Amino acid sequence: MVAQSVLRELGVRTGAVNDVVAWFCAAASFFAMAHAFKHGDFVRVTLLLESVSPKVRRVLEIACLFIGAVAVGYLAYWANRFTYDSWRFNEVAQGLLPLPIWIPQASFALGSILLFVAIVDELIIVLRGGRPTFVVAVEERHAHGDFSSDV
Amino acid sequence: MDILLVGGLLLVIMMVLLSGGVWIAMTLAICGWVGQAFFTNTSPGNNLFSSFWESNASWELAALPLFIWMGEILFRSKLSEEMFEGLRPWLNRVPGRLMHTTILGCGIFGSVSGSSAATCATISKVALPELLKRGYSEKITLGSLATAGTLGILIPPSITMVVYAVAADASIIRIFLAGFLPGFLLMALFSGYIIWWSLRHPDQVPPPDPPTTFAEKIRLSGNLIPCTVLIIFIVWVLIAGWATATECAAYGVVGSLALAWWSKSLTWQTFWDGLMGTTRTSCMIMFILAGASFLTKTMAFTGIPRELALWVESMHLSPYMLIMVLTVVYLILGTALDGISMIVLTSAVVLPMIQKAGFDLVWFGIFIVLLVEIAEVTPPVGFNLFVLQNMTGKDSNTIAKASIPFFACLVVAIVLITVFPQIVTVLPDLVMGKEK
Amino acid sequence: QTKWDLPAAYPATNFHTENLQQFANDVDKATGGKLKITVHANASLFKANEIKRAVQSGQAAIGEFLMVNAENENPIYGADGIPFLATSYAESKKLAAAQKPFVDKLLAAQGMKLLYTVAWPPQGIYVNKEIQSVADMRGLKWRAYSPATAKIAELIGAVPVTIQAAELTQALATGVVNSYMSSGSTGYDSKTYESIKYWYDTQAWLPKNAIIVNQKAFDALDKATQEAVLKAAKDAEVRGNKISEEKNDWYKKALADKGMKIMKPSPKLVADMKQVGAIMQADWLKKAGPDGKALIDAFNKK
Ligand code: NA
Ligand code: NA
Repeated sequence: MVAQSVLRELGVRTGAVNDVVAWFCAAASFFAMAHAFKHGDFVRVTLLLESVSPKVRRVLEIACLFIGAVAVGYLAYWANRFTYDSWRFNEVAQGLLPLPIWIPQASFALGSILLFVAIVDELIIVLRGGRPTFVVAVEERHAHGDFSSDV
Repeated sequence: MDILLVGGLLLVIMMVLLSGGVWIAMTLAICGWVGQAFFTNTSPGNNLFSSFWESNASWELAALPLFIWMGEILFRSKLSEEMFEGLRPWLNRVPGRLMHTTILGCGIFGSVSGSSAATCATISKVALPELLKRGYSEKITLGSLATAGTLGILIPPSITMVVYAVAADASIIRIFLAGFLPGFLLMALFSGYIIWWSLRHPDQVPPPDPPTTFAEKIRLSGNLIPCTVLIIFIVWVLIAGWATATECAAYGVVGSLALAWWSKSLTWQTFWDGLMGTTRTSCMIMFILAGASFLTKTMAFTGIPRELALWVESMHLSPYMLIMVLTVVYLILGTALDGISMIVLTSAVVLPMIQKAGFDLVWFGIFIVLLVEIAEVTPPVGFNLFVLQNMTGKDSNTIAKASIPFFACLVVAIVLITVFPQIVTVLPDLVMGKEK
Repeated sequence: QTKWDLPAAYPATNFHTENLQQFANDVDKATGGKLKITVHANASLFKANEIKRAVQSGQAAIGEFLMVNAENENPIYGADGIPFLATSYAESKKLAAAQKPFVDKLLAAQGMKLLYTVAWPPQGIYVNKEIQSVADMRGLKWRAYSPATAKIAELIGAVPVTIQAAELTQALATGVVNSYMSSGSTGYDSKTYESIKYWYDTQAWLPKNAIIVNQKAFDALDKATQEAVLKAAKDAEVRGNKISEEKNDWYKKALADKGMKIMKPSPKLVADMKQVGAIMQADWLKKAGPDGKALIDAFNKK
């Protein structure tokens, strides 16, 4: 997805490229939210988690996932509502490309739902006694010496 | 309710959530929500969406994934091997010899990569085994690698700087340009320390490699060509200014792809891995930025930063005192937080204060990047420590201890740029004219 | 006591923002502190193109936006961006009056109310060489930042370049763009005089900032407070337009002091540009339909 923005960059520059690139990057990151979450890329402070017993850790993980699920559920609700309003009000993008704004916004509405599903999925995994995917993924990645994802 | 009390309440909630392990972006947003829902009369739901939309669908931020991608490509290429070979023959006569490859290597790789952990990992991958095999002091090697890796975010391009520029609404190019001289200063300080240490401990520096002929040196230096070309290209694009930061990043990606292809390390697998890694990393950063932008809105609606700035003003701190206090605060934050979270967490409150005290936002950007560099090597949470821990199996506290002298160099650099702010401002002023 | 937040897109030192602050102070005084308006300058609360929506959805009770920016949504908002329709402060005032009922109607449909408008100084052409006619402008690297400026580029045969406001100074210094249309204030703030030496005072159009309020928030005020807001708005409109006119002269002088040549456009250039304006007005009328025609008629009649 990023590749396209590069191609545009090198090709003929039309007026609305900036808006399109911005929407495109945003859309890519919105869609990737669930994937990045599962993959353990979302940063958190693991100091306490790593120093407590596995039992306490599980309780904490459940609490975090529950809080996360509520927060992201709220986000998903408003993302969809706002996008729906944009469509209802017939709001059009300002700038050079008069595109109905709900079209790019829909990427976020959808991405936030995917993230919500991913968090609920993790919550279920942990409630069933499993280890969260994002913890396992980070451990595996670091065991391979891959630190490219850490800024 | 007193506004500062509200601020205190939000701070407590934030501390609890953060230490409990709730994801940073969500913590920021939850605090923002509490502030808006209970202490203002705006509609938090709509604002939540606006924050995500405004902070992510912006053209300035398009540079971010591109710079990340560039680093990902180079991380997976053979660049560092080539660099080591190219630098080796020239350092035989300098006190400390090959130990300087860590500093120079990180400096050079830092000018094409925007990440500290990637710089540290890339250079360590090659330099660490080579240096230890030849019998160089493990302590100095580890310390210099951990700390010099942070040059990746001080020498442009820098992902941290992009994030700061977005948070502070400052010019990315200006901040990039401002990073060059402090970067060189820091390299000089690091190398200076290595020279000083080597002169004091001549017994711990292994003998030089067999001397090479001049022709041989030149031949080996050929390895540096691809990287040099890429650096000159990027620096030139920045200084000549014929591209914006985003375009510069796009050209950088193309350049790195060409370089990786040329060194025959570009396969579909590495290309794909790099692309996926980029998407995830940028997604993570954008998610944090969105959460922070929502919290910033809360701050604006409640007026907490204004009150806080007034309060700080009422204490009549001198600017230097303010910087001292902030340094201590950031040092403490830096022990447990990563750099990007550190910047976005504090920007809403600290930036108005800084501006009121008469500091330049570009200067403050470099100041904060230097503090983030320190945060990367302070336990318990420091990415460069994790990188080296993983590569050597050494405990991260040992690595942190080895970094202490270099850590001191960073503090010296902070003092120097505070006393002589021109180190930071002279280059951007020269290239882009004084700021209005 | 009621608190309103007012998001504005321009820096605190811009005369529009200063005028807003004065308006807020007036309201505070007139209502005896019953209505407090906090001005959030420099897009610190909402970005420029989000402000209108924020007022509509009640995220902010009141806000300021540049009307031509909303022309994609409805051409009526873009009436003050038609080149060479209204080319002086007097005509701009006339146009504002003709535009008002239509804007009122549009905003009312979205649950908002127009308080007042203030014009920006008239738009001239910044260019790196002397120009006698539109033919001289062919091939210029022209900054396009709105549908109208992009269309002008197309009509005069210039190459449109999209540059963000923040990157304008750099783009000018390095020659990525060598011409654009804007007011004297933009040229001064962006230090255009360092790289471009000519400003043609074409007075092409005077775009306006509109200050809008959420209808529900307004209705929630008591009668006396409502009156006070409307009164302060009226004063702010008169004051703002007067300052704008004074600023226009001040900026022209300031630009000249910085070595920029303030040029009176040649008759040929004026005629050429009027032609460009006529084409764009025709285009605009096509888009704006009967309301647009009624608006132009109302403007021409007075
Ligand atoms: Na860098
Ligand atoms: Na740390």
